[in-house]
Amino acid sequence: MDDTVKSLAGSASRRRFLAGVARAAGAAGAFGLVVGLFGRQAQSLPAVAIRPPGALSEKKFLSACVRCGLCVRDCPYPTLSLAGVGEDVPVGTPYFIARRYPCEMCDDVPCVKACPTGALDPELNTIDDARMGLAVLVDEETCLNFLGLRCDVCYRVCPVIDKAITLEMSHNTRTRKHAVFIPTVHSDSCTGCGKCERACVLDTAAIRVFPRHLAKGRIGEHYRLGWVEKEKHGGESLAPGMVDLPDRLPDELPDALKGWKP
Amino acid sequence: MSICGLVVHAKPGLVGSVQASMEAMKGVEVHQATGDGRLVVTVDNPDEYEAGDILNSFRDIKGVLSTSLVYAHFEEDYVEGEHAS
Amino acid sequence: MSITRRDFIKTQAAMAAAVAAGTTLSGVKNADAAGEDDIRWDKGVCRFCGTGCGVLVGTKDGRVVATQGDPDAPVNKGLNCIKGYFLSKIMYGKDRLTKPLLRKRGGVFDKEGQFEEVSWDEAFDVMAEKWKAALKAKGPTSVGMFGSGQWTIWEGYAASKFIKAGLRSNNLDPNARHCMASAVVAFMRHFGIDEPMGCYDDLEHADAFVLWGANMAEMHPILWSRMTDTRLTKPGCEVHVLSTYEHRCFELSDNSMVFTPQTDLAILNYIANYIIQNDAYNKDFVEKHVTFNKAATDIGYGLRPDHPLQKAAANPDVGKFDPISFEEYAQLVSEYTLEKAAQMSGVPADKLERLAKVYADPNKKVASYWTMGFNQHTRGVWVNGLLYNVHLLMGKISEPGNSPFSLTGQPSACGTAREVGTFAHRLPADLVVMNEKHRAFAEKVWNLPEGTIAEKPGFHAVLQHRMLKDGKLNAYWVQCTNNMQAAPNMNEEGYPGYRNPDNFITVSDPYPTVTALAADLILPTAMWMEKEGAYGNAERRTQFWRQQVDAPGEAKSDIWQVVEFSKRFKVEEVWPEELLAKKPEHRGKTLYDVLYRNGQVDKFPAEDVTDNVGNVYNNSESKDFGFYLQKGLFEEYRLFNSAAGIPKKGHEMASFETYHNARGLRWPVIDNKETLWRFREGYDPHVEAGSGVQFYGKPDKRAAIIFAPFEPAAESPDAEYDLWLCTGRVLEHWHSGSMTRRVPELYRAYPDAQVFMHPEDAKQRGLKRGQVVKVQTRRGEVETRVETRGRNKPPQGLVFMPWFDAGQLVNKLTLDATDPLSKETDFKKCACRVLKG
Repeated sequence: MDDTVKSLAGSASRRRFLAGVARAAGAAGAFGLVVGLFGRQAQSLPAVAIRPPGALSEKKFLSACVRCGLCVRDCPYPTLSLAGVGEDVPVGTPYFIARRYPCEMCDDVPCVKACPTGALDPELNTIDDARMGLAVLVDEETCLNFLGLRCDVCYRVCPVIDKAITLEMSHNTRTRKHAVFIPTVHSDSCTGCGKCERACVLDTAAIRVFPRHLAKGRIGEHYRLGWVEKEKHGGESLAPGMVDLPDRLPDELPDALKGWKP
Repeated sequence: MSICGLVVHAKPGLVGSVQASMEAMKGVEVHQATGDGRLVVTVDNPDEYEAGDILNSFRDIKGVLSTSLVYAHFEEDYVEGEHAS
Repeated sequence: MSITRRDFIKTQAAMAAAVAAGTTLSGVKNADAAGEDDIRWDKGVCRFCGTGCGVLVGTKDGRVVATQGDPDAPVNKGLNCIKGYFLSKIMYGKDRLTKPLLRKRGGVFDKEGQFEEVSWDEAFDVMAEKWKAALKAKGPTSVGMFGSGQWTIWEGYAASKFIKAGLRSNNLDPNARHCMASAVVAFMRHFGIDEPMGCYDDLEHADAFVLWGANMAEMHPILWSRMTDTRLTKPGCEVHVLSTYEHRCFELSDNSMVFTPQTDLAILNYIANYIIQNDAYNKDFVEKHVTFNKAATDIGYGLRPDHPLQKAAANPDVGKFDPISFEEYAQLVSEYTLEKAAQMSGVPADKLERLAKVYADPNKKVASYWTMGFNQHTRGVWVNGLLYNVHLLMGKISEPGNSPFSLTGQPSACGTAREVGTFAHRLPADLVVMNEKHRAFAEKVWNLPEGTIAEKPGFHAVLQHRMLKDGKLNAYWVQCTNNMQAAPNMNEEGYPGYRNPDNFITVSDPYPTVTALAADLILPTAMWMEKEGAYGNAERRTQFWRQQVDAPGEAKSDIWQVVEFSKRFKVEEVWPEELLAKKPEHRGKTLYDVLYRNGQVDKFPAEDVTDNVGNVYNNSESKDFGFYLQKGLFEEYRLFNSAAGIPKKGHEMASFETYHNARGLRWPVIDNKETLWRFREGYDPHVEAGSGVQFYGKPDKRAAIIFAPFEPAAESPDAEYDLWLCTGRVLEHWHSGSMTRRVPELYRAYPDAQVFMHPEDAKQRGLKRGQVVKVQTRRGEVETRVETRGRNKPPQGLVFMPWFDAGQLVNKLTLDATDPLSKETDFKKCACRVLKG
């Protein structure tokens, strides 16, 4: 047992190292592009900059926002700020960086109320409906809970705890007597407030909030999840009216098959 | 903070002067220079914009044929404003 | 970001570039190895809760630079909670105290002066003068000490000896009084011997778990992880959770019960009733191993004698219980029907019945866990006992998986506070000062004249603050705890007590805590790995560590301070002539000579402390005193468990050397074997062959079932103060936060306390989430922010507030009502109101 653990640990660190090299090699190809971007004023929002609750899609938001700063003024926390000259964010627009100061999710959403133009959607009355971004557990290799430790700080600070983040529990195969608690983000409830990223105790956060278009995958239109479709169909098969023939079994089931269902 | 690792290819005859020019720049270290013109370089700079400028300016050094970014580490230096009471 | 990390990344960057360039770097070592090569690793134990996770401590250049969970430690197998992850940072807060600080004005001590740096000599001179003056004026009851379940074992032992034998005062009490005292008294009443019969292995053996007032998910994170694993992997395993508000344990719960505060008393009696009504009790076990009793009732609330509630009580502070028959017992619990329990507790009847069935099922092994919900309770001893009643009726005790288990909150509440006698009524190894034979035995072990130890118990924690305020306790020393932030009713008792001009208060701490800043003299103190230490965890596991680094500046360990201070007292100054006449050889000596240079404590010469690979460790105390102080104290303490004619068996310990070479051993350690389950033949060598089970702490070897009824809380919500206030902890911070709030990452994870409130309660008061509010009780007011979301979900009518935040002193609000038997405060129940700030 101990030997296995050791060799696994060894191969894991080697794998990490090789992965680092590979990442680096991949980055080499993008070098010209990266350097080119450095010279220009940013046109698109950097991934760490999150718009206030209710912000329209970035393009619409930029045309609707008049850079008045009222949302920043009415934010009761130091969360929101206006982009200055030389920042990656278009000058004068409001944003926040979760790691620096996340959105506190005020019940009365004062920033949205303050917006005179609708760049922050006035229909947003309930802060739980905000979708500022989406939390993503970006690094399973350093997240302490993935390693079996009991951190789960991101989970406990979540204002929508047990909905936006849950702990998925499983057996710890290394210690054999502890559980592993995997923080799992649910996009249907995560507001992107960023409290999890802010609170992550690592030197560099393993959970981060990204704009939703960067954070969310999409399953191809050509494939549907059978069990979801069946549930939508009221639990009825989409191919009704099938017959199944009974299985031939002895009258008295052997012990090995007791409790067994086909 | 940003730290980059680069491979710089220089004209073999000018490796010495390329190395000297680079080492004169703030945050730049040359870890290895081979006779056939390869240099292992790191750029350490807190400001990513400035790092970009430095990388750009490598091209202006006489004798540099190409630069390849191999390793990039970016990290936001957030300052702990608060204090435990 | 540190330079080393920057260099590390740079090295990685250069290496990656070199690989890509197809060249190798000369002079650059492998980056991973460079980071770790010269770190010395040695075993240790986590500084925080009573779980007792084993850690490995990494030291480099005289500094603890890293820690890791010890992968071979049986408790945690390499895991830690988030506090344990940051252990390496707790000693390096920017405001570590490095010099004694004395309040002075015009160059001399002045109670109203400002703190100025002084030498240790000056500090002890002033302190000794004050202590001697108090002793002279009012005798031994005017001096006292408040200690800690975070003291190392020998620190508690040395202090107990100094105060109880040296100064002949029993005014020594530990902060464990706030935490474990109710569990202790219940162990003594029901079993005659302290501490749990089971161990953590029950977490794997049980079929059902019941949490009674324990938020294990946050407070014992690694044990919770073990329980969760059993729940996930064992078919049919169930978790039942009872609490006065919904917390993180409810996530795993199969049967969640939020009950009205105090009605746990009724629920437990209902379960006993259910077991009897359904004829489910274990008749053989009950007949052979149990006695039935009835407790004295209407016992008051441990308040000051002139308090109306105290005056109204028929039997204030009476802990007596009288034998009754099984039939009488059955009659007494029969009042607690399912309907009544459901009505009183507010828990739906089907849930209560499901819980009762789990206990009553002879084929289900049940482990019950509790912490402060039971112990911090004005009927804490009773409620502990009512749970034992249930386990004893079923015989579900002292065997794998069947385990009523009291979890501890501090790393050495068991090992130090309880085992070496730091309570106001106790002596080492479960002996008590009230018992003449026990005193005589202690005096014999310590080679002291007969009659040295006083008979009357000293002032317990809450009483110490009352006596300080009343000017009856005048010289007072607090070590290793932050009691000004912890003890109840700070406005009316604690703070006026410390600032009473008649009193001289000394506080030893590594950091300027609320308590230290309220003192007259602050002594800078070595902590954790800056001294050689030992802790005893909740499952009777004793764990040692070596001194890894030196303390900063002039900081000294608690043990050094006590032993060094004892040099300031001549025996003639503290003992009467008739005592000296019995042992004339002590004449002219100091307490240091009599207590610590007695041929036992100084028996072992200073030596190089080494580990198994030959690393040499410093031992600051050996250096200063010239002998191996820790070893001498521990070996003398072992005499209480091994000397001829010991009054109580059952606490046997292994030798000092053995513990330095083990990852922790569960006592009693007999014939080089640990004991996992006590009182059961085959597991516990004290049980006589053929008897099966023996509760040998009791003279008749039978455990006591003691009936006690429901009695109301000391203070309940009314029209004026309309909410229950419950206080407690959070995972990120430990106790008063004096260590964890100095770790920037933990501070960031949970910066400030909040009051958790039901959204409807907030709405009714016109409060919005995040708004600044005032929480008020009859004793004080705290400003905080209201939280209607998040980890804790109180029912309507109850609010919860954590106490880690020195900026929001919750103990201005709490009531100093205690369990009259254990003297432990009820921090979970008082009446408050919440208003707009």
